Amino acid sequence: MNDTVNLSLPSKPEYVSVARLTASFVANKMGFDIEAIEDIKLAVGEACNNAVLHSGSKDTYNLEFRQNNETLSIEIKDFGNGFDFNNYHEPMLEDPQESGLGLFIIKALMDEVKIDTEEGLGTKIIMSKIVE
Amino acid sequence: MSLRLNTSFDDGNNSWEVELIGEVDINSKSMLKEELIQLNEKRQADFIFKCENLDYIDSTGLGVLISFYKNVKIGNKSVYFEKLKPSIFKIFSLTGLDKIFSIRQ
Repeated sequence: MNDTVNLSLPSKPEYVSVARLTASFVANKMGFDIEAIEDIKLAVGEACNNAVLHSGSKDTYNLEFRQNNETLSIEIKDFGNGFDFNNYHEPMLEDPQESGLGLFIIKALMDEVKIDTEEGLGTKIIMSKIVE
Repeated sequence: MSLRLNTSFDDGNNSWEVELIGEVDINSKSMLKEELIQLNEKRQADFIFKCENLDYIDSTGLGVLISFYKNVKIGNKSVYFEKLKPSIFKIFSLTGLDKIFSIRQ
């Protein structure tokens, strides 16, 4: 199975659930168990939150779900400002803050996470998980 | 699906009970935040969040709860979370919030 699903969503909070539903559907179809489906759904939700809240772009962002045998790869790309990754700090769990948990959650839940960001060109988060 | 709240004041326990039903996410967080602030202004008391029908929470929803928790703490009141689903508990524990919040089954 090598199906690919593409979505383009407005950078607005009310559409993030569309991405989450698509993530659940694709993960379920590939045979992930319920816990892994919840993980994938949350990771996708967090990446979309990031695009909507921090990209600075008011237009759209894109998602691509690629099924490659046992691996699900998901790419979330916005066309916003990008960010300076050197300024990103892992959150301190002893003293939780109101923001900064999104990327941390994505990294904890997915098998592989790659972030490409360039100031002025946008941010691309590529994450994957393998069916066990 | 979105978020619904059932709120009531429990005179016996002198606490607010807030039942979270559905999803606390980027889309519902503002509504939750406003509602909680209003309740706390109406009457400062402990807050008990009933979570058996909470299906989803993301970092923006956790952010609202963290900042509300800090507010409630200023008045020396407590915040409790009850009956978290396993998928929700996993996120609380992943982010260290199980050590900050009082969680009971």
